[in-house]
Amino acid sequence: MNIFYILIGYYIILGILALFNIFVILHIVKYKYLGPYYKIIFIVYFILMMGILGFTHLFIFKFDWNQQIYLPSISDFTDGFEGSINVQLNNR
Amino acid sequence: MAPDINFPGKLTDEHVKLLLRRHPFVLIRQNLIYILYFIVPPILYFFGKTYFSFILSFPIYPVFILLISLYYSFFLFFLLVEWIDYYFDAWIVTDRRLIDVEQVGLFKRTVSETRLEKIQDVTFEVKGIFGTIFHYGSINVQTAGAAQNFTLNQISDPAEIKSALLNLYEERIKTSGLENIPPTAPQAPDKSTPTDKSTPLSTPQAPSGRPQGSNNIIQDIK
Repeated sequence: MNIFYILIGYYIILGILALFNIFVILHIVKYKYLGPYYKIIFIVYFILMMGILGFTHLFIFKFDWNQQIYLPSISDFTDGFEGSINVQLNNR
Repeated sequence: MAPDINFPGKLTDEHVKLLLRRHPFVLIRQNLIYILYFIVPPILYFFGKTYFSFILSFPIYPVFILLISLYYSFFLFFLLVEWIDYYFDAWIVTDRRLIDVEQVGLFKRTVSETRLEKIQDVTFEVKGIFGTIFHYGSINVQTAGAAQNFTLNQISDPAEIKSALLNLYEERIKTSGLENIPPTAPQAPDKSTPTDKSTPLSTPQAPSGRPQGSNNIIQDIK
């Protein structure tokens, strides 16, 4: 399996989070009982979010995402098991 | 203390005098668990590095980094939602009325209001060690009639806010002309004619600047 698929999964989850963010931002902007300070919280929130995503992308751009992951297949376990059964059967 | 804000139903000549929210310490105290959530990934990292060094090897390390990135992104998002829950709970005092906006989560909001001249009694309560240290408490505003009472929970400097509310009440009574209206009913019983014993014995007093005294007249006017 290519590790690139994990990166795609990351971006899908990030997209869902972006949708949540858009919904919450619209919710806040449409809200009519705001004081004057909510913009400061917004700016701090987006700076922190950009920080997290920025550092993650520094890593993403540096990493080689075309490497293969060799997951242990089911046969690695069953081969030995079948083998032992065959040995037992042959011994009979 | 008079922020320039607009809200639905605001009259053109209405001015916002106070915009009140819960004390910021309440927000911090309610969300102390987020500190624990914040330090979980570094603890996992250092614990894993010490005892399970394979997490720094190829297939797990990049996945770990992406998971931590998602974790902190969602962490920040939920912090924002907590802040919304705090920030959208507000009490707006204008020169005419008191509006209570109560936000529960993202989707439920209750807005109730009372006119300032309906205020009968204002009491405040500072409770607990944190309330005493950080000067926050609750204000209970009792209103006339069947209207619900207003409780302003965990707001800063409740004593000052209580005084401000009473001052606004008195200003409202003066400016609306309710102060000069003579008492109308019920009248004292006339001794010349036979009366029933259940006739009210006390006559209402004219407003003297105190909410309790003026309430009867205001109710009659309405």
